[in-house]
Amino acid sequence: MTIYQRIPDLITAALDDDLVMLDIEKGKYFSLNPVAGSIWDLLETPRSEAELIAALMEEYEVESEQCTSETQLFLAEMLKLGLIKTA
Amino acid sequence: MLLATKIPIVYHHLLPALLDIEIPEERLANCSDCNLCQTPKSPYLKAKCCNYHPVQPNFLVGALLTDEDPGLAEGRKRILEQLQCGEKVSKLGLKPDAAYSSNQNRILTQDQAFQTREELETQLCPYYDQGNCSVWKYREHLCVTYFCSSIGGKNGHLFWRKLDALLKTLEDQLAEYVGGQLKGSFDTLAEQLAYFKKSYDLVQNMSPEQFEKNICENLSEEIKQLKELALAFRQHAFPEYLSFPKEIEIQNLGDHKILLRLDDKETEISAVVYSLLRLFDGKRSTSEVFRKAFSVLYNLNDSVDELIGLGMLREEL
Repeated sequence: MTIYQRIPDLITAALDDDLVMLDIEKGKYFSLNPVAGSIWDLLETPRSEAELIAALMEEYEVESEQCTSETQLFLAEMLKLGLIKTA
Repeated sequence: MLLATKIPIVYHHLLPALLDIEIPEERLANCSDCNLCQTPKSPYLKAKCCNYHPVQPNFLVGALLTDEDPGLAEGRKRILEQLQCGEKVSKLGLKPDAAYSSNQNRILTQDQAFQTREELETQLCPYYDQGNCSVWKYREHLCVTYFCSSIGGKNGHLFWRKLDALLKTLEDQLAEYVGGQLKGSFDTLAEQLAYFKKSYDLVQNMSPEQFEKNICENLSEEIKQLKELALAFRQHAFPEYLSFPKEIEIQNLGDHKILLRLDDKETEISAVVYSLLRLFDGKRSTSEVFRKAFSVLYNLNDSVDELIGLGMLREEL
């Protein structure tokens, strides 16, 4: 089972519904929408994909298939950008 | 705010025409609550923007050595330490050594958006003292005029850059003039201390007429230009509250880009900048939004300047 966790040195700021992040090393900024922001918040504790999906299903009224697909997309994107890593 | 509050006191008797120039208060840049230190992860925590080695001209060194203000004790101590570094000392004043300058050039020419904490610490100003400037009262031109963010946007920065150029010229020319007037040996520490104190005496006793004749012949023209820039600075100061006009069109272009359109004007901004700019809801002050952006080390100066110019950010009354 793959566990996902945040890269520790990102600088973040919550802006109403969005979350803005700065990767100092790469000099790049990222903006997360509310759902992506929720996933990021949940990853304060390293979690598996299944745990993330379960937590999101409790928070949002969304079909399981849609939640799974969007979570997988988010995790893949964040891994590609180097903002999270696998434990 | 009068410019007198910003110009070091050593110049007041020489530049009386500058003192009553009115400029907006730079409330977006407060050194005692540094914008670059809003997050505990900031690499600037132990340096702020003080990753610069000032060039202290002889008369400012002398001013620090002469002024018995107890508040300058640390500054005097730091100056004495610098005087032990032979390479930094000349009759013109104190400057960084070759190793510092070489390191600075290396860092500044790297292709990176931010310096690391370690790099910033190697570039730390020798007068930086636990978040404060130990030589503030007699700081040099760049330290007088640098603001990470100006309430006047580009007009503010134009004003400060013009004043910086003027003060630098005056510092260089005063230091040279003093060097030409003072003779004698400069070999021992005692001789250097005496020399620098005499440098300050010379400048203190200089009349405005001598100053204009020997140092800055075109002073009146410089001041005229500075006053014009101060007017533009005042006229274009960012309002206390800003908001997006209701009629603005916002289009998500994908690939993290947003298009803003108003009448016949349009501009493309990144999704990140858009997230930050959305905080201008008419209820949050301009200062508050800038601070929020600085919490991710983003300086909204240029973005806000552009959007106000396009009418896409307006004063909220």
